[in-house]
Amino acid sequence: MFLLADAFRQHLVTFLAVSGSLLAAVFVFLLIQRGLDEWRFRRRMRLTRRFQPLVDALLTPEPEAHAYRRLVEEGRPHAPELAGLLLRPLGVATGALVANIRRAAHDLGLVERWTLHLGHRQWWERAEAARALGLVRERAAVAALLRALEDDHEEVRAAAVEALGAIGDVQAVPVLLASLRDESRHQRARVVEALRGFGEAVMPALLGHVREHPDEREMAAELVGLIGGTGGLGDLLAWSGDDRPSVRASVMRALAVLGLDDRAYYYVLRALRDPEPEVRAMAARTLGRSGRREATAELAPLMNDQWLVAAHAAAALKSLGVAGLARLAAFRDAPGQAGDLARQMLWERETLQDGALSA
Amino acid sequence: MLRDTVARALVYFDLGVLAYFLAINTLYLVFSVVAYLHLRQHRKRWTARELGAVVRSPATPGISVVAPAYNEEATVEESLRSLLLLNYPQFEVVLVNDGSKDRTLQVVIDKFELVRAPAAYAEPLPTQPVRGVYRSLANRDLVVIDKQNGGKADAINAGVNAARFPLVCVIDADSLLEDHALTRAVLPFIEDPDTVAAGGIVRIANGCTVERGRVTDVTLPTSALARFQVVEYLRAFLAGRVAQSAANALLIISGAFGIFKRDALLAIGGFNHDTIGEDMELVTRLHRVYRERQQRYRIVFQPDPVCWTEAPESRTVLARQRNRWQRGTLQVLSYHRHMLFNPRYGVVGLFAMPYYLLFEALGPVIEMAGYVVTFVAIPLGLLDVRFAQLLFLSAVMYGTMISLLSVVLEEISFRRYLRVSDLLTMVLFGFLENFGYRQLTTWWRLQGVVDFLRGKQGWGAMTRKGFAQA
Repeated sequence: MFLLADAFRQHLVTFLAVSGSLLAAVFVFLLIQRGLDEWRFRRRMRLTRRFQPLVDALLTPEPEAHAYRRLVEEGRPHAPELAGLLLRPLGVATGALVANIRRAAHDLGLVERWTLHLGHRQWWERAEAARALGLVRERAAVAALLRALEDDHEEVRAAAVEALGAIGDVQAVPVLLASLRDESRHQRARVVEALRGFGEAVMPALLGHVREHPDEREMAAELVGLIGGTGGLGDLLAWSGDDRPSVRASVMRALAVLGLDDRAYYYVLRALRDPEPEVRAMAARTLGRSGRREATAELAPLMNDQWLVAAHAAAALKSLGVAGLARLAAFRDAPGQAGDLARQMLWERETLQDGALSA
Repeated sequence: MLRDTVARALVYFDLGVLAYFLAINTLYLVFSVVAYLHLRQHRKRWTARELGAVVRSPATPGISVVAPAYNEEATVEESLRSLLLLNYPQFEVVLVNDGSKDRTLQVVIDKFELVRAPAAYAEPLPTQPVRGVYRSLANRDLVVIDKQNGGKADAINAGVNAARFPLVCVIDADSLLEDHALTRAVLPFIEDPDTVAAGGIVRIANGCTVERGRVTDVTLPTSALARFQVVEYLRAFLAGRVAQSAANALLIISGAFGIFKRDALLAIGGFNHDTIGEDMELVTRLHRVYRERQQRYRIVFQPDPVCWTEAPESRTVLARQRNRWQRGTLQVLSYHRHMLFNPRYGVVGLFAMPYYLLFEALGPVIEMAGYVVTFVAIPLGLLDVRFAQLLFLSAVMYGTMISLLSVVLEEISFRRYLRVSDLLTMVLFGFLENFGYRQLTTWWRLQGVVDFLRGKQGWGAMTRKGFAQA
């Protein structure tokens, strides 16, 4: 038995020694790998400490010539590492400050490098380049960025859209509008965000585009709402008669943001009698946000409509002050859905008031 | 004469214990190798581009995320906002207020513009009465079910009843899911339509920085107990579950994060109310029902959708948790005992369940008996000291190697801990784990076995410290 135990122990020790050594070798390899990563990180930190004051000097309308020269001359060998440092303030910087950084990026050879990298074989390099060109608002790169909208990789397309939005060159608007057809929901959202950045300047191109592509009215209506202003109101009201309920609902959502003048108010009242519940619900929501107390008489009958419509009508009445609350109070003792909704809204209102009082 | 007989019996007993330790550690060695190959293949298969395609595809199935909540007034708003921001093309969040005694429901009503809606759905799973269904006017992807208290399993079943998508994701209300957790967890269902359930990895959030319900900086906890658990979880998930999943022999999908086909849940009657280990019981029942019906099915562990959770840092709470897990395992094995060693249940009956019986259910008894007998018998001269050396080699040294192997597996596959100091700390705790911590958990598990035999029920309170906010 002991002989067996001895032999067993010998084999186990050998096995553990060999596998332990192998494991130790793997650890050493992993530690070397980690060490290299750490070394790169520390080098980046060192460069940051050295160049950060010089980059900060660019963030004044008229940077010191001496600091600028030092940055360009001493920074050239470390240009790729400096890119991050230059780009960091661009999320918030505007006007002359952006121009300063763009000039430095040009002199460091970074703009040329980024433009070249738009054709890099690795997608993340392409995406990074597009993002950087957008941040420095490099108008010369607009054509290349428009081509990047056709990239296979969504990240690159996303970066290109954001870059074009940041540069704000109106020649990009038609292509951006065409990108509203991108298969990715996220990409479409980014295009909307980029177009929103153009402000009312985008409106003529947007409305022209939708006249040619009526199938994009739904997205366009949302866009008009997001951009704000009254430039698109006429078209928006015309689209409220579209055959597609989703377009009509989208128009109502946009009107809720834009606010209602007398003409728009009339269109929203008409939408309360739309055959589609989604549209009626959105119209009720819009009236709730309009602050027009006279709408309460039109909203009250909807309390017996389908649940979605009734819920939005009840919420709208709750937000329309004393007149709305009086309408809700009339349903307080009613049986069924209307009574349930009215009681809940009144309870919420009272709870909120109690909360406000106790606060 | 009697002394010789006792000594001989002790030698045989000790050899049995040695065989046990060798078997469990060798099994984990095999698990680690299988897991490594599987993880490598998984990473090659699912590139960022492929994941992007899943997000874009109109065929990607919708998911109803069911989050049971009981007295979560303080955290429910942030948890819900974080869930509603998950990156997935089509999903809804079904929050089930399980008869909370605090203001959980009122907080949600106020913050998310909830309106009471008619409960226009069938209730195939029996639950405690539903008091109301609320829909949000602010966010159409949020549904709140208010019901009478019935426990976690009952709340999940109520959520499954209300779910309108074909897949149901069950999470704990205090779990933190990563942005792409749903996209990654849905992959097995897209890859193979026979998949009925998939679980993600659960990692320990203690020590990490949490911003708006997302873990933004991954660091090791400062508490030694939590650090041991980090290594323990890596071994259990990265080595154990990846390998068991490769053999379609996975018996547990953590209750903190799992996705199930709604039809499959309805077909087996949902979660069981009467067990403490409801997550393991459900998965075992899925295996049982599908194998009895001779239907093709897959239950999969996905190593990369991450769910972060808070681990206990006090010995009392950890002891309670391990005691409960042990009782849960024993309860499930006892419920489904006829599956054990039954060839009708294939790899589950012949490998997974015997594995759980021997190494999980009886493990603490064998381990503790081995330690006690060896260290009592040697001073009494009943056992040769060489057996103690062998026990040390096969239990402690071999175990240490396995713990370190799981740290290597993490480092070469996911490398979530970016600081070198964290890696070295994990190595240190992987080494130390077998010198005290493992024996301590064995003791708690042994108490769980005793409590199970005494018929003790109940969860015991779990005190949580909360996540560190940025």
